[in-house]
Amino acid sequence: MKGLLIKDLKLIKTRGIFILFVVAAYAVLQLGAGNSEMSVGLTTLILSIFSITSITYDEYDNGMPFLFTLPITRREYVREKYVFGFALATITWVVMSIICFSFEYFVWTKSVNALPEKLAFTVAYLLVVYFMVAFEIAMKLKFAERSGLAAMIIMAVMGALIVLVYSTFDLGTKLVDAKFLEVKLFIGMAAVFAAMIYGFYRWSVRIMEMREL
Amino acid sequence: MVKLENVKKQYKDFSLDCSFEIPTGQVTGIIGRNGAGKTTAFKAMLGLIKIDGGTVELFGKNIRDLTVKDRERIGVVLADSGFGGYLTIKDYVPMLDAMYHDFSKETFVSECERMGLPLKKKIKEFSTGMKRKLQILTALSHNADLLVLDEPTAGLDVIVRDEILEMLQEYMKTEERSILISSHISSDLEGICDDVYMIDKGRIVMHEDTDVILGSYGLIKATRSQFEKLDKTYIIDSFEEQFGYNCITNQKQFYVENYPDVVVENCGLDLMMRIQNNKKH
Repeated sequence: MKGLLIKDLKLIKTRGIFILFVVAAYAVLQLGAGNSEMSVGLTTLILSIFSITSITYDEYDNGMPFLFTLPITRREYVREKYVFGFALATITWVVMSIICFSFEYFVWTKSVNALPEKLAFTVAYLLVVYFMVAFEIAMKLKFAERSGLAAMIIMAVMGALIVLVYSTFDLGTKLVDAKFLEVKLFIGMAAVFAAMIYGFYRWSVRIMEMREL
Repeated sequence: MVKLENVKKQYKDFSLDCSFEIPTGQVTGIIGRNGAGKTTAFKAMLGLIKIDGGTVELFGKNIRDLTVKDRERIGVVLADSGFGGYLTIKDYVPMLDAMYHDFSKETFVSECERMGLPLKKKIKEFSTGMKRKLQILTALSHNADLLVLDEPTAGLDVIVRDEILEMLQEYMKTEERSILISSHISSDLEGICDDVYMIDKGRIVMHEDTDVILGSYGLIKATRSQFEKLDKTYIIDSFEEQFGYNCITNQKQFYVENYPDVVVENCGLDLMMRIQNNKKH
């Protein structure tokens, strides 16, 4: 897995500069508008999606067959994409949280009163990002060979459903209220997410193991 | 080293059903027309496609049981697939170093430079020949026990091809190594292979030692009257032409000595393939 991670990190260095610029610009705009939690949440999402883009780069010019003649297994390849995606999400989330909340505290409010609530929102965002990364990796591997409208529509519909579920359950607010029932609900939701993420991982491994290269 | 036994793969318009073996210490060639099944056989051997029947064994193990360590013993060149184009050789070196225990960074980099491959240029900007050279150097860079080379000299000029073939001969000086190589350039195979398989429509149609093909096989061009008088004992196959008959023999010396008025030509791999193709028509 180490070799694959090195490859994908090199890809970020080469191809991710533009994405980083867009993300930085977006983060500054949101910060300027006082939306530090949005700044953290969506920059985390945008950067973590790069793990899915790395699959596209692997596929470029029919590169996948040769990649699998190197000493890696298909399971290892999938595992590396998940590790890469989650690591990108987590690191971005930590860095942006420190920057945005420091900015919020030192520049704007000079008060920590609102920080727990904002942090709760961003923790919820992180869970959703993990979920979306797992989902998008599985979709990308499944539909890799079939570019086109059908795959994009399915992915768009699933993405919309995810956002709807998130909004309906109002995950961010659950953490804020320290009452026993809401915290239990949040933990329950996190457990469901974790189970679904694991399900997507297992499905992704199956897709790769059955794939003809 | 490698054994494919009754390996079957069914596609919509094509089916593969073949068996072949690569002994340890030998260079085995595969020739065949475009679409004959060479690449399919290679992919079945490397586990890139699922087979519908038969067994594939590498290093005495079923291919499904190969570990990552076993895979380090294989160096591969594929005809239609290579390194992803968005990185440079310099970017790939640490990746290869992490994947192969026996990868020699310094040797690999110096060989790339010797072959004129730019280390900091994106691979998608390489010419076909440059990409091929990079694949071959990568296959040779980690002390592999088995090289699987699908059209390794395609797109290379004759000077570089000779260099590559020299490198492969140098590679074979270490004992217990093997090469499976396919090529459309028959002279490359004739110069390096110990034995050759011919594949056509997914089936092995011929297997012979290269020395025997070049030394003993011949093409007899006989008129109809000459053909009637020919001893057919050593005629493997014959087919009618306008002038008479073309006959393949595996004992050309017999006919040279006993039928001096009959034209007997040397039979190389190119000719074997043309004859195989003409047979169907």
